[in-house]
Amino acid sequence: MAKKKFGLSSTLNKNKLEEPILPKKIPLTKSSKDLKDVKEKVEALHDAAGAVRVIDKVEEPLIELTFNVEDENIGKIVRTVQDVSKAEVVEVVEKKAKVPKVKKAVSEKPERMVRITVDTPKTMHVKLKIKAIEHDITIRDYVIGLIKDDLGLK
Amino acid sequence: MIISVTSLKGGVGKSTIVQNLSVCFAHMDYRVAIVDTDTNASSVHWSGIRGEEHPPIMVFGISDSKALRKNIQKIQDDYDIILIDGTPSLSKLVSTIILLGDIVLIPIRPSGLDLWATEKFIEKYDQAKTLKEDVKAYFVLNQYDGNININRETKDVLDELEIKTLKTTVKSRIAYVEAVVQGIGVYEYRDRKAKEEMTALTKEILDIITA
Repeated sequence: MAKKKFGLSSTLNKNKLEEPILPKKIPLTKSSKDLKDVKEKVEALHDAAGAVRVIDKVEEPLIELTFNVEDENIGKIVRTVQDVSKAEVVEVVEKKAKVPKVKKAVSEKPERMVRITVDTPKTMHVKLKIKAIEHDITIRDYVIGLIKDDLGLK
Repeated sequence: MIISVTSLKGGVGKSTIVQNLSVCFAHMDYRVAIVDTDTNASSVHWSGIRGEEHPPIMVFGISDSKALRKNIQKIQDDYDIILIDGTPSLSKLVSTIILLGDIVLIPIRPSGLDLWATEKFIEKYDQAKTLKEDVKAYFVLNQYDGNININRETKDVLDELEIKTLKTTVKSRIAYVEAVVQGIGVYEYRDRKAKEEMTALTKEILDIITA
């Protein structure tokens, strides 16, 4: 009655949500997978015991990682990165390491930051991101933390 | 058409997604079968309580890679869509499931633990790719809430990966739990939002399959 009196019927009907409708059936093609081929590929992926076999991967593109580090650590970082990564990475970092050092400030000012850039394989970059998100930290925090641990810095 | 739903982690919603998609496909008049490869056989149990008033969905329990390869051909002759409910392990069976699927769906919850399991899955996927296999794999974000930071960050990480993430996300809803225990899918249940999600997911998957 009230709906009719105040002319709400049409408004209420307009706002009535429609039930979701599935798309119409369309003809689907049968799977074209060759079962013999699938079997061979599964065997190639696993050894006789069923364990995953490591297959050589194609070379991946490198991704540039950039982050700031405290100035005084540059010389040491070169060594650390050299231990864990590839020749290209070392080259980039060594160039950065030639930046002249600035005298340490006496005051309580935050230490000057220096930006270093390293190239990492795509997979390593993805793993870094996953690791960082798992620990709810940034990639920078993670990398700096590793370096500090290795160098025994505060 | 074979749709493989797999992940290397348990409890990510593989069976929930398989059962709900199968219900949607069945309502579209497709002949649908589920191949349950998980040892806990949740899809097999689900089919046991499914009422006859609903469109039929045949469920086969197969937990061996050789048996799966042998039987899939026959099942394909009788059904339009086969959904393979995967098992969380790095076994031959999982490799077979990945390689058999015309499309591989990887449910993932937006958590660190799920991402950790995903890393291993990606390694396996990369290996399959190394064998020049055309594997069409997609992440399905399950129990996703865009208002939570860690959920959005997980989505950002997934967007960086070679495996694409489906646009449709599945939220954490009680309807999914309530529907499963009645042997139905949310499309047959009263929660309209859950229905919308599954309808959108079905549409998106069909678009990929038919593209």
